[in-house]
Amino acid sequence: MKKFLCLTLAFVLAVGTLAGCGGNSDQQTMPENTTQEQTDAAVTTQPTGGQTETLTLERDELTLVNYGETWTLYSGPIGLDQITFRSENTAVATFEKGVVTAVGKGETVVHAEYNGQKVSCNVYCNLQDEPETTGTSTEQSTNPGAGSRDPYLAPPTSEAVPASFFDDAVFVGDSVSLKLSYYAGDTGLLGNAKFLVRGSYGVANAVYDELLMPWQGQEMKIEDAVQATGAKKMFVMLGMNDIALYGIDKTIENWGKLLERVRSKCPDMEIYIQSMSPIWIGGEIGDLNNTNIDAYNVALKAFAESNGCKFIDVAPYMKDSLGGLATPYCSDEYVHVTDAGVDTWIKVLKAYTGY
Amino acid sequence: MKKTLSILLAAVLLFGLAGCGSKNEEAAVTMDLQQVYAGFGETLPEMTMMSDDMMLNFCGINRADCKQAVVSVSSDGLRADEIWLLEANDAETADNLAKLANTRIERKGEESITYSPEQYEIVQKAEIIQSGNYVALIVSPDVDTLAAQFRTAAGLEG
Repeated sequence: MKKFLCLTLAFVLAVGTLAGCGGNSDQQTMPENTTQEQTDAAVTTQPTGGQTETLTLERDELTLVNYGETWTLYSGPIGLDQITFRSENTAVATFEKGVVTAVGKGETVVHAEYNGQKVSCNVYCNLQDEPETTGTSTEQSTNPGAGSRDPYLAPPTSEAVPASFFDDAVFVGDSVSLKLSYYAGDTGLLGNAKFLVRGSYGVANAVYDELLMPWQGQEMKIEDAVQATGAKKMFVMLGMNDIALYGIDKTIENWGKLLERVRSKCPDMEIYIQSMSPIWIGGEIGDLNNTNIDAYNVALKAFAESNGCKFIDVAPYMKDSLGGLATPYCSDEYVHVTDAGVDTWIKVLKAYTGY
Repeated sequence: MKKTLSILLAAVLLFGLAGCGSKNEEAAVTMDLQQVYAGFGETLPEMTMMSDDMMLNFCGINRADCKQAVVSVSSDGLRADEIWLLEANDAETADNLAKLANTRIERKGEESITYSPEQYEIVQKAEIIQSGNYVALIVSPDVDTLAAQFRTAAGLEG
């Protein structure tokens, strides 16, 4: 009897204990209408209705080893057109529609933003191979004309800002920007942006007043002209008339003086520095070549970021597979740009401005 | 008699002097500048027609100062080609516009002399034609043809 009672008691205890197992006493009660999903980057709760969805990336670090290699960092339920994807350095990797694409060797950070949320991923392009060139040329590979002369990157498709964002902007530039001014004025693609542009303009001759900037029939120092436009944002692309004459270091030094002068008259000006567009391969002259332009743009980016300016990397989108100005974008086998080139330029501005 | 002759001579001289010192070629007709520009046709490359804002910001031309204004510039930003066809509200404004045109030519010359000697030569041959309240600036490799067309439209002798 005793044995029977003990067995019965043990059975009851065993059944009672097992019925309570398999649950975590710390587990919170989930709200109704939610699912839970865990990723490498973040623990998220994704409501299925009535609440803002959480933005996550598949990982927070990514290494790519081949030119053109892609990786899908985002494939969640939020519509791709609602998310702003951005790469800090599109010469290393692009990030569009949730997909990272390796462009060049180096490191960068890519970001995705949605409804006030921002997530990031460090991207390391440790590229082991050579960039793929396409084309029908039968010339030797040492010929700089070999390979595809078409744009290497497709223009960005997402717009972070509309044309009206540029209504209170002024663009400062040289003869390359002159085409931008006419095209924008004709199409309205940059809203009511103003333009302070003139051929042969550079950072040096702006700073040393060798060339004055025309504005409404008068010629002024750059800081006075910028002030006269009434602009709150200033976009600048300069350097083509500087780096061969003065070198990169001196040109960067002159940038410091240029900013100082502009800020003396317009202390609250938001300044966006654009990377310099490349030269059509075959049009390079002496020190005015794409190797120096690439080095200048690296230095310019560092300068911009350490001097309170935003950097808009236009250059990669203007390049062909060989690193020169893409043939469809080049109007003179040198540096000046076609309608198609300016159209891409404007798309880059609209995709990457606003941060 | 001597006094009469002196007065008569003075009067003749005065009427004669009335025609001197004028900087303008007198316009014999009124012009529709849009039509004049259309007549330039394919002599011009692809041009960007300047809006009122562009006229002011790039050239200093205040549209409100003009009864008519047709201003265009080569779309590629490379060629020096530029056309101003303006009818000012009054003579003083016309003079000011002519001065603006001169300034514009000087600046285009400064810009082109370093990076495009060919375009610089075109700028050097530009013409400014002032006819009454009409002011034309013609920067073009075909400046002679276009200037002649403008003069014909203005009823001026070529």
